Amino acid sequence: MYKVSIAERLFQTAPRSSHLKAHKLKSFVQHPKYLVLSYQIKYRAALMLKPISITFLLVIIIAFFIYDIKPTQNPSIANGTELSKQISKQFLFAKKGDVIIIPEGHFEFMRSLSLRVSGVTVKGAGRDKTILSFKHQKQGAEGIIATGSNLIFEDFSVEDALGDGIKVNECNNLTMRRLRVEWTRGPHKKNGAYGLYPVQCENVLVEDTLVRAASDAGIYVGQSKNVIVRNNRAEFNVAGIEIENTIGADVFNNTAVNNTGGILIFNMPDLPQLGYATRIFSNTIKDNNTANFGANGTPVASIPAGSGIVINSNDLVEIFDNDIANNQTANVIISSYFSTGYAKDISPHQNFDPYPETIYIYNNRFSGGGDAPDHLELKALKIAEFGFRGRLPDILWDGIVNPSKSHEGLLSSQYAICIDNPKSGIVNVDAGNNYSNIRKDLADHACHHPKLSPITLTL
Amino acid sequence: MSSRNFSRHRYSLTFKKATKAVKEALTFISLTITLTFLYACNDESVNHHFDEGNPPQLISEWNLFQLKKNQLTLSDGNIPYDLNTPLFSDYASKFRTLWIPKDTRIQFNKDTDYTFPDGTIISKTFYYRKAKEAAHSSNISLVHSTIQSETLSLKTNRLIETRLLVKKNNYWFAYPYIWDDQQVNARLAREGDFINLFISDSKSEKTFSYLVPDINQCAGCHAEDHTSGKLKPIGVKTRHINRKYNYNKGNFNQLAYWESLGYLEGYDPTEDLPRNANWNNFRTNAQSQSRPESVKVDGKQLEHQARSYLDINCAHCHNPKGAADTSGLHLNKDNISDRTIGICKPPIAAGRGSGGYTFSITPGNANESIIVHRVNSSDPAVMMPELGRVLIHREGVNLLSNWISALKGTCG
Repeated sequence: MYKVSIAERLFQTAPRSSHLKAHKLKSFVQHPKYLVLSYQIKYRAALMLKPISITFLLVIIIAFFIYDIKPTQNPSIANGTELSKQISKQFLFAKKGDVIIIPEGHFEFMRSLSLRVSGVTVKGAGRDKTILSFKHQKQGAEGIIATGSNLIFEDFSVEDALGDGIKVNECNNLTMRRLRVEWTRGPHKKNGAYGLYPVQCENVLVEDTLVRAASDAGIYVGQSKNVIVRNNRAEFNVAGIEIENTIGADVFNNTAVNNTGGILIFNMPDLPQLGYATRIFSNTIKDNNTANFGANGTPVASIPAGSGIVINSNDLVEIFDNDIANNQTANVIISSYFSTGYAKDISPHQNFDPYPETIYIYNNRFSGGGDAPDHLELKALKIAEFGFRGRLPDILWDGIVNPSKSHEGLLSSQYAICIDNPKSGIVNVDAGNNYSNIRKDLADHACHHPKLSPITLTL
Repeated sequence: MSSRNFSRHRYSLTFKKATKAVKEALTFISLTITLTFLYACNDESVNHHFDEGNPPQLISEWNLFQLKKNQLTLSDGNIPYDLNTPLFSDYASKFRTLWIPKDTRIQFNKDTDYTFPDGTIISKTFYYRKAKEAAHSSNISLVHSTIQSETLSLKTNRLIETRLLVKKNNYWFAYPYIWDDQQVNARLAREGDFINLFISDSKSEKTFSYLVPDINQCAGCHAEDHTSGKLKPIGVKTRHINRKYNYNKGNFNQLAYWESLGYLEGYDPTEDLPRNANWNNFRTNAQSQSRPESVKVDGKQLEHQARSYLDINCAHCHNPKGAADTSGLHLNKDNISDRTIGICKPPIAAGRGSGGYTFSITPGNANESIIVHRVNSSDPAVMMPELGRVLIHREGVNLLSNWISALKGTCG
């Protein structure tokens, strides 16, 4: 047959003798049979080159695809730092619908964990089991900073953030539950300001959390709408729980103990939203006598230690069914913007109402407190009005009223501070008139206000 | 028929086939090679196609730059630009470039954001001058470079990172790339990083941790509208780029140059266009002064300078829609309300950041102004800007102090 294997041909024509001279080699090479063979070899080689090239090309293409495919993330679990990096990445590359599960363990972070996606749940193995520590944080003013809607944070703790523990800014439908935020060294001026910090959010639920040693407020809800803060424990913060410039908040079944001030309801000027309509009920607010360790010049730094509930420049506040006891300045303080100590500028701001109005205090159980007030002027007041061994009454009011809404220092009924509380007392210090007409008559406040409707969340 | 003749005939046929086959094979091989090396093609055209789910891992894949002979030059169409007053980034110098696809245009806007075409690539390479006695490539000098050109020397400079903002399907994507020690390529680092740098000529800090932002931190500044959360370029706005640049072809106003390249739509050179203060003017003044009173800048110019500084360093968050709108402090250049600029304005949620001072700006009293306190801090819970720097900008503090000290009026 014509088709003989190349090898056979090669071997057939190859000279057997090893002592061939060059000319014989030359003639061999020029021999037609050899030429044919070489062409044949080339031809076959050429023929093979085509499939080789194709294969080569395919291999290259496939290699590019393989190279481009993201390697499946299989972090080595052995190392805690690896896991911290893994957790960071999960936050960073989160997509809508993700559930970021953080396992049990103690994880250190050098920078904030940030989330900028909606529809994400971050879930730990329990607030005493999953601990995110920012003790060695090099950058970032928060432990966790998030923005987005439909977010859930639950079952983990944040320790020692440089700034705020968990800040969620501009959110709709936020749940923070079964969390712990703490500064482990205890009350200190350099601790972060807020433990849990939803701001500019709508439909917020903060429940079953524990916050400790924040240098401003443990739980702070700012410029938000439709908020429930329930079943939390706030202790050793400057302010335990603070609701500021927020419209519609129910704060109930919480325990606020050993803070500087237990629960604060504030309004600050120069902000796009002014707050009103807050219900504070069924809370335990006791022994909030920790010395104020807030940063100088902040609003919270002006709170006297020993404040149970403090209302400042806020309207439509209902306080009922609480156990408020042993807060050494007063169990409830009601004040206007002018008493804050930081309001040097008393010119009226657009839309800002500096006066607390339509406050309704009823059916609370007061006991103790008022016996060792903070701040020199309050000490003086106590001694002057109630004697050395006396105590300030449960409710302390600066008495500064809007002249257009009052008559002879007494607020018109719809704006009044109404008190329907057995076994309580009030002192109106008349701060607006240089303390000239101090009143302690509960009869001034024998009135009622329509009750506020409960908050319903549409989470 | 002799077998020999028959064989010859078959030989010639084989010869033809062989040649044809060889030719085919060679074509195939060359095609293969071409396709294989497409990625690493050595031409000068920028590659703007990418998969946002899996972006290029190396800066070289974009082909924005050409690195040879100790120099970084720009690929075709990749044009450099500079800002009047730049953002302070730990004294890093910045080489900024803009590239748009052929036959596309940028919609010009006098006051606010431009509209860029899909495929736009904006890059910013952070670099430092190498220290003279550089024991290690991480030894840098903090002397800020103000040299403008279309070339960057790799002999005298140490590249740290290149950040890209690329536009696709009407969205901007941010990608940070960190340059390797050999200065050959830069690797994508979306989780950011800390780079230890050693300063050879600082009297105070000797080493610091330069922060490469992660992509969420990119948004921390570049989402100027915090609610939408969409990334946008910050620097490419008329008031920042309305200035001259020293191009290879000459010294021209940047907007006029872009217009001459056909890049701009809606640009009207006869209009009175906003222009922020040129930072170099103040910097030279400030460095040669030791006491605030001796700054030879008139009041209006000082205000212009200070407001320009606040505009570029702060307004991406401190504007009515930005991430810091919860503060009520608006430091964008076009804000004319004294109160929201911070004059006699009490802090809202500054916490420790207030330093115990009552107002953001206390006229006539820089030492009791919260703005100065925060700009002069390197404590992460106090410092402003909160993101983007580790070191204190002495010259910036100087400028703001001078400006505030010169303000008249009292609070309350």
